[in-house]
Amino acid sequence: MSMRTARTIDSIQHCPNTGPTDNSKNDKLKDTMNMHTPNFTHIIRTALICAMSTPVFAQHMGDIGVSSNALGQLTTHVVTTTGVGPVERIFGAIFGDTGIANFTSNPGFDALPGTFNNAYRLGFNIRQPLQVWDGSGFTPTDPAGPLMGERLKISFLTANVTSGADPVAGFSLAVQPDGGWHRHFSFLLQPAIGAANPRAGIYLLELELWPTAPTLTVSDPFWLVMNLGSSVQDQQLAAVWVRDHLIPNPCPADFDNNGSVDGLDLAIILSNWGGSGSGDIDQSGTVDGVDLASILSAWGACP
Amino acid sequence: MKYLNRHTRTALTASFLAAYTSMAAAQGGPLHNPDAYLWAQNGQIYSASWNDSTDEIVDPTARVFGADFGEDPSFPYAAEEPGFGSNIFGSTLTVNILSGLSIWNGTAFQSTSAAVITGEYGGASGNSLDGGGFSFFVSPGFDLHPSYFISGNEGAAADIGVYLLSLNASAAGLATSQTFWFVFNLGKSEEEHDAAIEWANTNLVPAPAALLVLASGIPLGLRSGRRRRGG
Repeated sequence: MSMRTARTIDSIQHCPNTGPTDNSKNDKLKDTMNMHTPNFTHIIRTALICAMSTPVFAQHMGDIGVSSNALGQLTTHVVTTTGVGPVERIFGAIFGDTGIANFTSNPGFDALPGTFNNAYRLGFNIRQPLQVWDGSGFTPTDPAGPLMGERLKISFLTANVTSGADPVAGFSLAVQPDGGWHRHFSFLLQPAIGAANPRAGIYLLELELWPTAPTLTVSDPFWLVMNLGSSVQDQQLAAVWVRDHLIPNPCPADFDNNGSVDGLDLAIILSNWGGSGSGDIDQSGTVDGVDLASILSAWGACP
Repeated sequence: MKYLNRHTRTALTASFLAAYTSMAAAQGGPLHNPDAYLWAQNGQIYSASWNDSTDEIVDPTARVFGADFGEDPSFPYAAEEPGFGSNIFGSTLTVNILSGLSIWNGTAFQSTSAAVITGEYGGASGNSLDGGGFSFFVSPGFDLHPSYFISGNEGAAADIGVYLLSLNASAAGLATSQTFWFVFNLGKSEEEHDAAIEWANTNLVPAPAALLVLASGIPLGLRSGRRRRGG
């Protein structure tokens, strides 16, 4: 277990006001977490874990920080008590957190004052149909088609869009006069066709942010893992799944997950040379010279 | 959340009020866009204002809040400020919009029936014609931005102007707050907006001496646990 993973587990154990837990699921969660790379900690920084583990839904720490990187690409971040924190692409949401069924206005988006030029706007797109957690992965909200199952309506003042079968173009909002972008959209989960209410479950919304400023570019995709009446543990497991399956590993040559590509990783390659499995970075089926070249080119600290 | 003992709170409150007074004086006028912060003491709900960029209480007894329709030109007759913060955790607060809208005539507010302002959150709404309101559950880190819309009669666009909307806040087990006011600017100059806010503060809000007495017991803990806001 890496130190960072250890801290993550510790944060679960010490979140204030943590409600009753299902120990078997919690153990499963911890086991799952232990298998992850150090970067996994980003998902479940105190913000997300504590937000999801707290009966009163201290969700706002999990707001989506917005900034841009050195290349001008929009980036999403953890929001901490002191400002915009590390890059993050998975965020939690809890329908009903303000007492209104099937509705939430969290997480909001937060860019610090001065982050952007207030002559421009930031917008969003829905990249995928809404999906629902089945315990081991996300599937369409209705096998008959995403227009039949639950859908998510996103609104702000007089503008709104609803998730559909295909990517859906969103809309933009002006950067605020102070150069910040603090916005809370309204998220309303709509029932499947013919149903009175949406089903309890964990829903997955994939978004991206886009700028109108010519010097900025579209963000990487990011995800909202949205809980309607399901357990905190299930929501966390779903977030873990997203991290595992939807976000590329930024350091695939760090086989032992110690945060750097080093002699230990080289030893794994050499010990498995000609075989398969660990060390097969390009997943060609064989640990070979291509993998060796990859590890050498990635030598050093992980990004 | 850390709570301070009564003596410490009182001392800090005094210094806080002094800082606020000097800050307001230095700025030469009212702050324009603080959000409303709802807190309770001795069973009574009070309104305060806080700076959403610095997460600081601006005025622990504020009752007048400025905002602008059309800050985003895509929504010329809508706003999502003022927002609401609160530390009355575990309560469902209701923001009641009181009937009666006024418009600034350059020297004072006068009643108008030529426009209606609606406040909406999560499908519930109230307006300046019929009253009503919207409710929300308060949890730590609470940060809520209702939608506000202004319209003229029979669907027409509202006239430009500075409008005064009256509200209060209620919750089960707590006494309803005193009235607080949102001063919305629709297309007028910032100078006029400032003058209208100043008028409301001078003519609608109790004298500063009364405010100091009221604020002496404000729980400074209301600032704790809130996250920074960016806009």
